[in-house]
Amino acid sequence: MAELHVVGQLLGGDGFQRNSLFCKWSIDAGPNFRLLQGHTSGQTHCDHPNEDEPAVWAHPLDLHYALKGFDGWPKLILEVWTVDQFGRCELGGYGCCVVPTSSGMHEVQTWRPCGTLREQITSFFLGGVPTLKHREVISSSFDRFRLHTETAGAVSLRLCIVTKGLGRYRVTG
Amino acid sequence: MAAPSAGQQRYFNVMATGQIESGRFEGNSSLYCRYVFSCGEDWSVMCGVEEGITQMASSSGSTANGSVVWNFPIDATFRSTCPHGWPQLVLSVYGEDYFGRPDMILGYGAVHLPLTPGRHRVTVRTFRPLASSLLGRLQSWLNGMRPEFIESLFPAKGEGREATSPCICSPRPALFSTTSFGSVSLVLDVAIQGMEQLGYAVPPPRAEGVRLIDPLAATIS
Repeated sequence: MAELHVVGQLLGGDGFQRNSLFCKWSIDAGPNFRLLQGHTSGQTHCDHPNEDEPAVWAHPLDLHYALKGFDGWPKLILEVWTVDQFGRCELGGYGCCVVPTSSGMHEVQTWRPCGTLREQITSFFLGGVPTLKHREVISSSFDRFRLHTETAGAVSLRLCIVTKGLGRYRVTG
Repeated sequence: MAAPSAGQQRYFNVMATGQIESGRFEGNSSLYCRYVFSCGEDWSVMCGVEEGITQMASSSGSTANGSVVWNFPIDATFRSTCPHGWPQLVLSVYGEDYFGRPDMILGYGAVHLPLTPGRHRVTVRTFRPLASSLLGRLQSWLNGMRPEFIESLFPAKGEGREATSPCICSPRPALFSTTSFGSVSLVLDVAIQGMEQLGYAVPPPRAEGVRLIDPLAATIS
């Protein structure tokens, strides 16, 4: 059986409405992937950087999968939350990134739902932004067409992939 | 060490050399940096120093960007059977605060050793924990004791970052807050031996660097 290692870091976030940020992350993989070691979900600390500086999370990821096939390559799902000066948490953005097959720095642009006009007016005066009821929408490519979203910030990550035994199945990449 | 025969070797070696080049913490002049390597259960340190403290370095007026040069060499070799728990370099930078009190924590940082062989220039942005309550923050500002991690390897771990544990100052668990400031520049040269023989596809080297070859293969050719 082939094996897959994902080693890296969630480096930080930049360009969100406020710059105090934290991120909830999870990695979803198809039934062909069996987790051997590591954690598939977690939450970073909440970083309060200086003005005009990106937030630093430096959150390590280290996963070890055994895989039977290529279907359902792991996806990294990100949910960034902003924190205001009173400690209230508000959605910053959602993002999804199929775990890249090459190592190096990667950036995930995020988005967040706009909501209806009524919701936009409410959130303008009272704060609070609409969030998704069903998280599956973040990573699925089926039910997106009804959704209206706006641009949020970007999350940078450094990921490296090591595979074992794929050569035996004549897979390159 | 005897040269392992082909097909018998069950482990691979990762050699990391390089230096903690410099730190950039604007407004702080004299700094020192402590480093520790953190690696998983399957890993062992074969040779080299896995822990160290740099000298106290100050920036002089001649350097334009205000960075502090440590030029501190790192050299360690690790051995493992599985890449899970790949070694991380954990850094903590100490210096003076605004009142000139020494040994204050300025920032923690962590970075995985690169998995691609070759030379890598890495910038690690650092962060430090904040007290969970306003009262705690005032207290730490007054008595000059900034919160620090009890466990020095905490920055290398992903668990337990959601919330602080309750204490007298803040009885309810709060978000675990940090503030980020400054960065450390590293140069790391990584060489990997024996990983391809175990069936791992090692990413190709990014730049020209040493690629150790199997000692037995070397003698045959």
